Amino acid sequence: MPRESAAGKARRLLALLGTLERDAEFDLAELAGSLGVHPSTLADDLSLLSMCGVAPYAPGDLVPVYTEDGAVHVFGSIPALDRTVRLTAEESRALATALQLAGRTATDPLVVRLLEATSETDAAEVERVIRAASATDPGISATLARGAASGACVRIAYRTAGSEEETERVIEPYSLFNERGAWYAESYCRLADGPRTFRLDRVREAELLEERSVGRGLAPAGTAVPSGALPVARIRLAPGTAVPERDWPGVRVVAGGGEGEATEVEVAFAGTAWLARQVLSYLGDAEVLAPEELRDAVRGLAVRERERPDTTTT
Amino acid sequence: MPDPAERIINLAMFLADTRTPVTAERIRLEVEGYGSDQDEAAFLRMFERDKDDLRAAGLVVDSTADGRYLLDASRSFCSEVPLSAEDELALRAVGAALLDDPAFPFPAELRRAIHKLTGVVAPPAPVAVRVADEEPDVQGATVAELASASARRKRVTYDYTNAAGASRPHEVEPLGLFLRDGRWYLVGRDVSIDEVRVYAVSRMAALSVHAARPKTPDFEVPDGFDVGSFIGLPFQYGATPAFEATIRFAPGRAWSAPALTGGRGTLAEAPDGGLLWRITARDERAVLRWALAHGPGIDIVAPARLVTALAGGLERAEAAHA
Repeated sequence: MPRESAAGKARRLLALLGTLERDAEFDLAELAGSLGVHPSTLADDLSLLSMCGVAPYAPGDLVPVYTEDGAVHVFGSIPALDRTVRLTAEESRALATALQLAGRTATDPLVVRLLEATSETDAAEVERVIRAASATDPGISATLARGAASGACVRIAYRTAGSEEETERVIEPYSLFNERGAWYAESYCRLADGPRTFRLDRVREAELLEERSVGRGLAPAGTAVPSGALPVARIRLAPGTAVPERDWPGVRVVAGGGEGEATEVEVAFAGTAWLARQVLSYLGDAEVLAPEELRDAVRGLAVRERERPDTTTT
Repeated sequence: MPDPAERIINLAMFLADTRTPVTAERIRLEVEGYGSDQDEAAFLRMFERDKDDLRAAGLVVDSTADGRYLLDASRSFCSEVPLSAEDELALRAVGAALLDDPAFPFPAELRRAIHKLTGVVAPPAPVAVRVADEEPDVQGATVAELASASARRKRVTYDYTNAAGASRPHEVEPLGLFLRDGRWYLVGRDVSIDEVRVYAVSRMAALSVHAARPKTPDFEVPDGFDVGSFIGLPFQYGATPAFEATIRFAPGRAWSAPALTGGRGTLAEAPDGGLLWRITARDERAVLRWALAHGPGIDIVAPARLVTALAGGLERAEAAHA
């Protein structure tokens, strides 16, 4: 393991100093976890800090801290540096990038407030060089996160992929996850009367309810890739058509695919409407071989799309 | 020998405790850790390194015209940030989850930032983040290195395998990075062809940052550079001439337009409450695919040849499934 630099250690100690409040007590393991170090490393840090201070380095001039029985005790006030040090450019960049992933861009009020108060970095400057934005409305994800954290039910207006209609559902969210930039909420759906995963950029509205969720003991799967007992479709792609690995999660080639050859793939699917629309988007270059219901769905969708008044030339 | 970090903290505390500018000599005498038996040149070298370390930690040490030093408190400490319970939850949730995601390139920096802001990084609810699915640990580490090189404006070299499977070395000025659909991309000027190109980080190998003159930038960032302008929709890539497409969001789908369009093109209200989106495109087939895949309620309006092509494609799909 590479030896830690003095600068790196000093950065952690300065972050730690900002946490230590006069006459406070902290859990050693929790504080160590927050700083990302082993409790023994934190104990060493605190021992070192207890020897730091200002001249003449009398007992009252040193950082009044000690550890005992898994607890951190502060037994006075910090002699200097008792305020939180501003974020460095690298810390600001990390924070702004993380908030982008949560759907909060440079103009988001929270981002503006945070960076103005804590750093000399402008979030817009960060965005000009690093972009990791998520399309999810931060208000929607915040409501779902609160529901998951507090065990409250959430009413959502949701449009299933490929579906014409929006449904209103009461759900009991228990986990949020981000996969490839998209946010999902794993929930018990009272409308479907079973566990469902909702993609948050398909949620138009979310309202936190006072009603509590029922403890159902559901374990987060943490993935949007369908698995288990889902139906599997077999689809033939015309020669030269790339396998849509990014758009059809879990797709696998089962036959063909050579130069000038058609490719046959299999893909598990949870929603017929979604896969029918995906196949249709290939405009004849993708053909469902099985199951028959999916073939029918693609054909029916093609007819409906052709009959839509909006597809006429203007 | 005392831990150098102890000396650096002592220096920080001394400067924070001293309201008026002080000389280096006084620092040497009053800050524990600087040896009194040290020669002047060695002390000054050590003091300069320590000041650099303090600056790197967020403390701004100014020097006066007469060579004295002062901590700029207004630029060194956070102002009060009133965080609502919801704000704090949002910060802790995404922060804690990203710390476990190997594809997130700045975990240590994020951890310190959240610790400074909230004092705790523990996740408030089960949240998981996997922003990249192809070798996330490799992508995360590579992006961290590229971001550092970009911030210091140092050139990088790497072997790059293109979509056709051909590999060759590239020397690039790293200008920016973006994440899209589970992949990190570098935008940089390829020195050998003098063009700004987009490179998938997962296709890079043997990355190295120019080590010569580490504190001197190798290049200037072009005025007005914005990495966002390189993030296109799937139909905006290709060598074919650009054209303008108009796509209509039905009234019931208008709410989803900001997320789907990603701020590109122009959105205008239609008389029926829907939206008309005018967007530059290059790949006609990809435009049709995009509109159909994101439907219903998202329809191509113009150019007329696309509407005609769509009708023909729908007929082919119907015939294939007859």
